[in-house]
Amino acid sequence: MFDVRATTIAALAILASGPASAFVVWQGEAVVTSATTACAAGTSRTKIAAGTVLRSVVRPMSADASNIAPDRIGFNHDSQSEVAFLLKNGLAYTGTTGSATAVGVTHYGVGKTTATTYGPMKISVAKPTASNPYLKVSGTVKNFMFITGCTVAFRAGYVLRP
Amino acid sequence: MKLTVALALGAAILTISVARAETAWVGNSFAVNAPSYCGSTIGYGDSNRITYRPAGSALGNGTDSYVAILSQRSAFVARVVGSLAKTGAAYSPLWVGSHLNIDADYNAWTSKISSWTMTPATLSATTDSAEVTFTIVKYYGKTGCDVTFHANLERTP
Repeated sequence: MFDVRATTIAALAILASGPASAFVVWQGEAVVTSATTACAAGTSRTKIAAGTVLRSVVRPMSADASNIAPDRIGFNHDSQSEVAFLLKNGLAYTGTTGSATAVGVTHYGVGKTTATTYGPMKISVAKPTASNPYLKVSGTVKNFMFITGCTVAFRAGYVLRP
Repeated sequence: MKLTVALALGAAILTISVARAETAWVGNSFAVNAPSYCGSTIGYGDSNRITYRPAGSALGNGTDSYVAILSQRSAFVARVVGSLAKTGAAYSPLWVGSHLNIDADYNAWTSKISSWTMTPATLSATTDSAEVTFTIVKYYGKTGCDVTFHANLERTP
C-alpha cells in the first residue's frame, strides 16, 4: 500500500540534491577576435569590434536533463544588449551554415526573435557535465546582437556556475 | 526635367538619412520592492541597466514602446503595443534568463505595467534626462513577482 522504502529513498534523493537547480550552466567572458564592419556601424556605445569583451553563458544540453535541446550560448554587451543563440546543430558543429534561433534585445531595447546561421563552433569538452568546472568555446556567429551583416568570431572561457 | 527629378530624389534621400533611426534612453534602475514570489529572479536593492524606447515617429521609434531591463547575464523586455509606457498599459514579454531559459514570443501572453510615473511626463527628441518609478506585474513570468523600480534615464546621443 504505502511504500515506506520508496518514499524514504525519494526523500533522501531530494535532500541529497541540495538547493533545486533547474539548469546547469557555465558563465564566462568572451573576447571578439574579429568582426565585420557592420558590427561597428553604430556609436561607441553599441559598436562591436575585435577586442570587445562580452559576458557569456553557455548551456550544453548534455549537462543536465533539464537543459533541454538544443545547446545554447548567450552574450551580453554591457547590460545594453543580449542575444541567446539556440544552436540547432550543437556546440560542436564544424560546418559554416549551422542553423540557429537568436532571441534577445537590441542596443535600443527592442526584443527580437530571428533565424540566423553559425559555425564553425568548437567546445573543449565533448559532453560536459556538472563535474567539469571549466569549459572553453570558440566559434563564429552571424547577425550578432541582431545587427544585419554583423558576423563575429570569438573565443570564450567559462566557469561552472555554482 | 530629369535633372530636377534626380535632384529632388537626392534631397529626399539626404533628408531620410539625416532622420533619426531610433532614440533610446538608458539608465540605472533599483528594485525598491521585490516580493518573495520573485525567488532568485530579483531582490530588493538589485540594480539593473534599463533601456526605454518610447513609441513615436518623431523619435524614429515606430508605434510600440519597449522597456528593457538587463542584468549582466539576462534580459527582460516589456513591449507595449501601440502606446507609450503608462499606468495600466498592457505589455507582452520577451526574455533571456540567466540560465538561457527563454520566452521568445512576446505575443503569447500579456501582463501589465501597473504604475508608471515619469518626470518629465513625456520625452521628446531633445529631452536629455528623466526619472521614472514604475511597477512591472509578473516580472519574468512569475506570478506575484510585481516589481517596483526607481530608474533614471539619459538619452543616448
